[in-house]
Amino acid sequence: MRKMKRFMAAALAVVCVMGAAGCAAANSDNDKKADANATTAAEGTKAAEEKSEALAASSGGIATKTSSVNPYTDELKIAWVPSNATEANGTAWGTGIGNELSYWSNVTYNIFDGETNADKQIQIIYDLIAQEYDGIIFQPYNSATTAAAVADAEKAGIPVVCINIDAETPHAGLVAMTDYEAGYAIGEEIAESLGGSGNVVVIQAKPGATRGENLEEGFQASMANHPDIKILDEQTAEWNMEKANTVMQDYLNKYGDQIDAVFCHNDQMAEGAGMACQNLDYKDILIWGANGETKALEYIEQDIITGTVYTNCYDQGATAARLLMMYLGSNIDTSTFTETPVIKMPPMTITKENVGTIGAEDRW
Amino acid sequence: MHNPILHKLYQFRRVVVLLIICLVFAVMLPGIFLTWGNFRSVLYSVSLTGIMICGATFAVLLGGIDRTVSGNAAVSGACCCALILHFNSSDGGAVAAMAAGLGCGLLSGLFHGLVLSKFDIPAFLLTLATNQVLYGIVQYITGNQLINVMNCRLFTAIGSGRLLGIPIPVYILAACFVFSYILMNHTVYGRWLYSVGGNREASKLSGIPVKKVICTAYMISGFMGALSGIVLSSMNQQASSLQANGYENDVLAAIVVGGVSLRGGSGTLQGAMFGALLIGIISNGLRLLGVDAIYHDLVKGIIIIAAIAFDMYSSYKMSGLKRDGFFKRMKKRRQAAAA
Repeated sequence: MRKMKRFMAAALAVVCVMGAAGCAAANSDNDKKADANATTAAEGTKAAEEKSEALAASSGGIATKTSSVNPYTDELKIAWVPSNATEANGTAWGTGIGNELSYWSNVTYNIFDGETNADKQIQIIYDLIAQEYDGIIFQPYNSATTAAAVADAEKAGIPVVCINIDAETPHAGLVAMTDYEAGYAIGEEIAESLGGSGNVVVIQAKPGATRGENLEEGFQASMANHPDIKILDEQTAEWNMEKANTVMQDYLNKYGDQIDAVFCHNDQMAEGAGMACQNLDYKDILIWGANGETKALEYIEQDIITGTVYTNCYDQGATAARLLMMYLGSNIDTSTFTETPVIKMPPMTITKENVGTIGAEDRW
Repeated sequence: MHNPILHKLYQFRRVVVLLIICLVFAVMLPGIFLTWGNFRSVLYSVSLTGIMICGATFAVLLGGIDRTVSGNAAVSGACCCALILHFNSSDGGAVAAMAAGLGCGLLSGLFHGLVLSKFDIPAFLLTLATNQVLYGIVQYITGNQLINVMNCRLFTAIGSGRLLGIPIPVYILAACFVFSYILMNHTVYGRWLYSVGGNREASKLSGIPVKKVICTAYMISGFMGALSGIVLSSMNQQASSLQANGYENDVLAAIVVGGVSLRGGSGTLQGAMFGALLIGIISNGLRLLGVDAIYHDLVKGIIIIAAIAFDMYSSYKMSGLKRDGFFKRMKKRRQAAAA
């Protein structure tokens, strides 16, 4: 399964890059849902090809740069700047990138922790420009505030590939988990389990977090299809497990048996909600998270939570690294992009029935 | 102030503030807020910061500060979880692992105590720096990965277990509170603590073993921080390299809200615990009311300012001091200038 996913992700990477590389005219007004659906790696290869053809047609050609490096022989320096290097996803992406780059003995790979601070990340990016790094893989803490630094890196000839969160400026590429689709899929799963009617509570991400907002949007779109499912309450637990435990206890104190299902914006919060339900003996409530980290998969196996939308973060990191290496070896000038090529990682809806299909080597 | 009723009210002014806030929420949330289940939930939610407060208040009473409560919690949790896995999640292994975690906290506290008593370094700077060192150690222990411990019943029972319907962390908080309260209020050490916090030089001249007092205070703070880390890891059934990060701010906020002076020598543990309960109850009430998260900090801040203002005003009234009002003072100032 892992090999197949790698192949699909790589194929899509090439298609997206070729499509978007030289687009001079911006393909503005991207409808988020249509765009996301069109570029989902699992099913979107054909759609992505169509999109790339359209972009190529509008661009009138691919902008090229005069000099390029040889990725097999030249000494290269590549940096990974996560929002937070110590979180489960950040570590898994970093491992994926490191594994992929280890195939190139001439590549020096360094990690610079953003410490959940956009200012710190901006400082790091400018340091990397000054140190003449060849490529940057970046997970912005904030899309807007880091945009200028990303644009400056691109101007300096350093391609920047973002992971999960996009910088609000055109750049070399974005390799993202599905979020809108994941939220939608979870909504549909809950609706199916409840037979189209029931009560749901939501434990949200930190206010303003892009991923949380997109998950919520997808979930709400799904709920709109099921008018008999009522959302009782929505509160934030700021991505935090123990806070989610407290929020869930409050929900249970307030609504008790009325709650049929819980949607959490990440697995950590789903785990916290699961613990609260276990402690207060509410064991029939459906609890859904998103991401697919190891502990969530184990909780699914133990019936503590119901399901999650899994993304292979190792593959996601590796895909970003492959995309960057491809740019470095080509003569494509990413600084002329007017739209960022997007690769969406294939999502998998995981429940107790199929959790066994995720092997130990794919758990992060 | 000679009115005995007002005097009693002053003594219990913080309880009065909490009761008023509870009453408001109870009226707004009939049948939901004033329930045993919700009360249990509030106690559970403040148990972690409460345990930290029981230790950190010692440092603040000395006129210092201990920002390493979160770092100690993280190191202790990581150390404990790693060792439990090392011992194959056996109960005996868990006891040894928890002892090791608590030992880490004591060692950290001893280090801070020794450095602060030996050198004239501001406690804020030292603990700010060592907190980073502690998180660095946690990253080394965890390798930036989550350490999941789900199969050790003894360990997971600490965070998730219940006794007579009350979560175990609440009992741990109660034990820590009683221990710290007795130590502060009914022992010679407690009197030394307030004395050193009030005036270190005078205490030294009076023959109080200042260095020992400082070392003990920071060791208690380190121990409580480590204990809260074990409880947190047990609640989450995991240790992470960012565990408890930011809790030090909540702890300090609660201590200050509770009227403990950052200059040392004044304040009570009950006051600090009032701060924690105040913040916990307001958060709980706002969530139950369904208030959007973007307004939580705003509303919480306003209520806390009002509570502090009430606390200070009642203290001022109790002091018996008379002070002119703003306009009267302005008038006097103008008259003085004219003369």
